[in-house]
Parts: sequence; C-alpha cells; structure tokens
Amino acid sequence: MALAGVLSAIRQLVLDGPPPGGDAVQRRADLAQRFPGLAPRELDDLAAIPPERIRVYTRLVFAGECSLLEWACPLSLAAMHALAREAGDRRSPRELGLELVHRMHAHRPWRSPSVRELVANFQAFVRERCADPLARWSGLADLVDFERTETEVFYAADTPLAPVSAAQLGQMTAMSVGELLECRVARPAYVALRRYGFDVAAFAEQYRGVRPLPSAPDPPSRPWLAACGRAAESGAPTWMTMNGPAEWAALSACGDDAPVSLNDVAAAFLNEMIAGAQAGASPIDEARAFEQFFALLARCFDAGVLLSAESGGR
Amino acid sequence: MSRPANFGLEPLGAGVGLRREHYGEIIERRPAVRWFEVIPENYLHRGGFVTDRLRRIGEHYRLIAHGVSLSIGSSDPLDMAHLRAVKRFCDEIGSPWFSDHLCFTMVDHVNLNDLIPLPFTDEAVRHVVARVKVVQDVLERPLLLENVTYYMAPSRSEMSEAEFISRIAEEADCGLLLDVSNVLLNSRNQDYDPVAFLDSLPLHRVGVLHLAGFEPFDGVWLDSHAKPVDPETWTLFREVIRRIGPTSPLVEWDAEIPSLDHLLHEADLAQRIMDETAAERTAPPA
Repeated sequence: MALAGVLSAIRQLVLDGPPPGGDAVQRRADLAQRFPGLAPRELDDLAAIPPERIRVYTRLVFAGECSLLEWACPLSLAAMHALAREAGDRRSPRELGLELVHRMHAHRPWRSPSVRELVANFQAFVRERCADPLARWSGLADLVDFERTETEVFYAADTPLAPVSAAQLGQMTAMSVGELLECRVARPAYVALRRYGFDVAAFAEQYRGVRPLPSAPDPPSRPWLAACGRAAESGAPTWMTMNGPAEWAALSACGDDAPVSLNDVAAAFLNEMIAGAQAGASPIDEARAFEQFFALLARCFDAGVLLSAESGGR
Repeated sequence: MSRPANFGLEPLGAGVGLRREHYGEIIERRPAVRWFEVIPENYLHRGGFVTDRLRRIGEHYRLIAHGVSLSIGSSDPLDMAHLRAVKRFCDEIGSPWFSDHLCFTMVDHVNLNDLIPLPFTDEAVRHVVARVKVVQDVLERPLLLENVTYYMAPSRSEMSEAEFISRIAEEADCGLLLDVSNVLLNSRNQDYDPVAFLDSLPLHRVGVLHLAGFEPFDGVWLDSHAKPVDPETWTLFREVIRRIGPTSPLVEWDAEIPSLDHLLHEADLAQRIMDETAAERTAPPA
C-alpha cells in the first residue's frame, strides 16, 4: 500500500493506541488484522516500533491539546472538574482534562491547526456529549460560550476601522447634539453580543487563577446582557455590561463593520425605551435618556465595542 | 563547482524565538537581538493584540518565519490557501526564507498537532520532493526543512535518517534547518553517533541552526523546549560550526518560558561559541 496508508495507520495507532502487547510477531498479526491494506514490509516496519514509543506520541498529542484548552478555556475546565468532584470523581484536573480531550477528539476530530477550531469543537462537545455536568450546573453552557467568545474576539482579523481616539472624544464632547448625532460609528464584525443566564464576567473575575475551584459553582442568578469587544490599547477581549434592552437594541442596530450614524443608533435606543415605557415601565425622561445614551457610547468606545467610521481615527 | 556556504543565505548571528510572553519587554526595552524567529501560525488570519505587537516589534527587528503546520510529508493535499497566506506573511515581515519541519502533522484531514516522523522510504522521498518544489514555487523563496525529533521510526528498512534527509534536500534543491538538539536527542533515543550523522548530511545546505532544551520523559529524551540548552548540545554545536562556519543559530523555548534576559543570555552564549569556533576554523595552523 502507498504512503497514505502507512501515515493513516500511524495516525490511528497514535490516537487509538498501539496493539495491546506481545512480541513483534504478535504485533504484526494484530496490525495485519487492523490495517489489511498495508503491504507485508509496511506491516513489518510498523510491528518493529515498540508500543511504548507510539504511546509517547499519544501522550504528547493529547497533552498538547489539553494544554491549549487549559489556556483558552481554563474556567470551563475548572468548573467541569468541580462538578465531577461533586459527583464523586477523584481525578485531578489534568487527568479529567486529558480524558475530555480524548473523548472530544473521537467525537469531533481537530481538522486544522486553528485554536479557534479546537475551542469551537470543545463547545460543541460539551453541548453534545457532556449531559451530566450540564445537568448539574446550567451555567456551564454560558461559561463555555463566554470563553469561546473571548477566544474568537482575541484572534479575529482586524477591521479597517479605528478606535475612537482621545482627540475625537474631546471633539465629540464639544459638539452640539445635532453635530454629534451625525458622527458615524461601526461595530466590528468580531464584537459579540451575548445574553447569559448570569454575570459570567463577574464569575470569571472571581475565579481566574483559582485552580481547582473551591466548590461547584452557584446556580445562575439573573440574566446578563453583554458585549465583548477589544480594548483599544491592549487588544485584549473586554466585556461591557448592557443595562437593559434599550442598550441591546442600540448595539444591535449597528451592523457588522457597516458604518452607521449615531442618529440611527440613538433612534434604536430611544424606540426601545419608548416601547418599554408603553409596556408599563415609568415614562421616559428625554434628557435623562440622552444622558444614558451618551454614557453608553463612552463605554462602547472604551471597550472597543464601537469604533469610529470617520476618517482621522487613531 | 564550489557550493555556497549556508545555502547561500545571509548568516544572521544568534537569534531567539519570539514568544508572546516577551512582547511587552521587547517593545519597551528594545534589547539588542540580531533576529527573531516567528511562527506564522500565531499570526495568520488574526488581528488585535498579537498582530499589533508583531508589527511594532518588526519595526525594529529582523523577523524570520518558521512554520509548524506545513505538514510537508502528509498524504493530504498541500493546503494551498495556507501556503499563500504564509507567502503573504513572509512578504509582510520581509522573511528571506521560510522553514518548517520534515514530518507530517495532519493526515486524513485530522490535525495531530505534533511533529510525527515520516517513514524513511523512497516513496516518501519522492512524495516530499515533489511537494517541496510546489512550496518553493508558491513562496518564491527558499524552503529550509528541519530535522525533527523522533521517538519512533515508522520505517528505516530502506534508508537511514541521514540518507532520507540528504536525498530530499538534494533532489528538491531545498535548504536545511539543522536542529542540533534534535540530532543529539535522536542519537540518544535511536542510539547512533551524532557526529557521524552530521558528517553524512549535505551541510552546505544548512542555513539555520536550532538549539533547545530537552528532558527525560517516559523512557525517552523529550524535545520539551522547556529547559536550558544542554552542555552536550553546545559541544555538538561547536562541531557543526567547525564544519559550516558562521550561520544563524537560534535558541528556542516554548514551555515554562524563562525571562527574556535568560533567553538572550543563551543566544549570547551561542554567538560567543560560534565566533570562537569560527575563528579557530579560519586561523592558520600554529
């Protein structure tokens, strides 16, 4: 058989494990059964490899994937470990992580060298194959999505838009309301708007660096609306809490990378406020609503959720 | 016909691998570093923090691209989109050559995320040679293939590792990135003489050297890149320099990453050893 068959056999031996044991003759017989398309000399060559040397690669491949996941999704793994421990599983975080990665690889093989794909696979794996921890803590799905979102925002390609510079902010402050509303902004395509069952950022703040978690997490408390952008200076994923549906509506009005006037954003914001008022909330105070809107803009610029679509950005 | 040393590539002196942990310090302190080796996969199709830092570092330093996912030996088709992206990246950072590993990392469209050795067979030689030619055509710059550590040899009944590497380099007319630590590791794990191995390679094709730390693991010496360069590696490094003269050695560190100063200290040591050894090489006999 050609090279392709040999490489494919090596892949399977590394991922699924070498023949169970015995001498080279026994190993060759096992391999012949497992890989019937290989030529006699190819079987001889593979049988000559000591199984413990194949297992070195098995450990390296899965340990490498586990390390990447520990880097990208540390809280999700820590929470899964805490939930497993609560269910009587005495394994260490690393042992559990390796077992998860093994199962994940079988369920959804990693098809590219992209960390983004690995983390996406992890989220799908948790959703599709981790019913027990999901049933134990309904916040787990949100936590995994939170960490995947951060990974996506961290790695996403740049947009040609520029952060709102300090000079631009100063100019905006000096503008009349009419002038200001004519300014154009855009929400980068990588910015994510999320509705979670609890304040995941606060949870993350509390437990980042805590390994293992002291106990299984509390049940979700109250819904959290948030946007994840990129901080202008550090480029790090930055979460911004949205205070209610009007802020959500305002940011939803900004299409991915498409410039929009602040007038349109404000209209979406105010319309949602009016709708809320009509639905029984207290009547809106227009001056107060504008104050809230401009405060939202400042937070969005700070978190890199909105960027300037005007020339002369940073 | 005389063959150009260093595969005709400019010897850059000793450099270090660029790692995220050191971005801030490099940008702020701007230490003296001859060149940084950068891994394209850490930057391709990405933006934000990493690409911003690379751009800022590239304004002051020489950057050379070294890939980890070319998978030159795989039976899967070459990933042309990836290759074109690597070419753009090399163009952007001004990398005069590109290096990657003589191994496979993906097969059956499954990423193993590790450097898996190829069988040392005639068929594998022909397969890799054909692919190297395509890669060099797309990249429009020389490709240097790195000898990998191997803990298992999928086949050596047809030829030795040295013959495998040599035939590919000669037949594809590509360069070699000689990982000195890997030579030493393989000589221990596979039980051969590292100096004899060196002498059986087409050393005029070596354009870059790698130096890294290793440690014992599960009955083998593991290429962990998490330790200082081993004293025995420095000895073998001298042997290499005696044979090829000044070149571009690079200190790699990928796990348990030390301070930038520690890394630079190792690079300075590499430079000093290279300078001393190269001087001995050219000095007339006493």
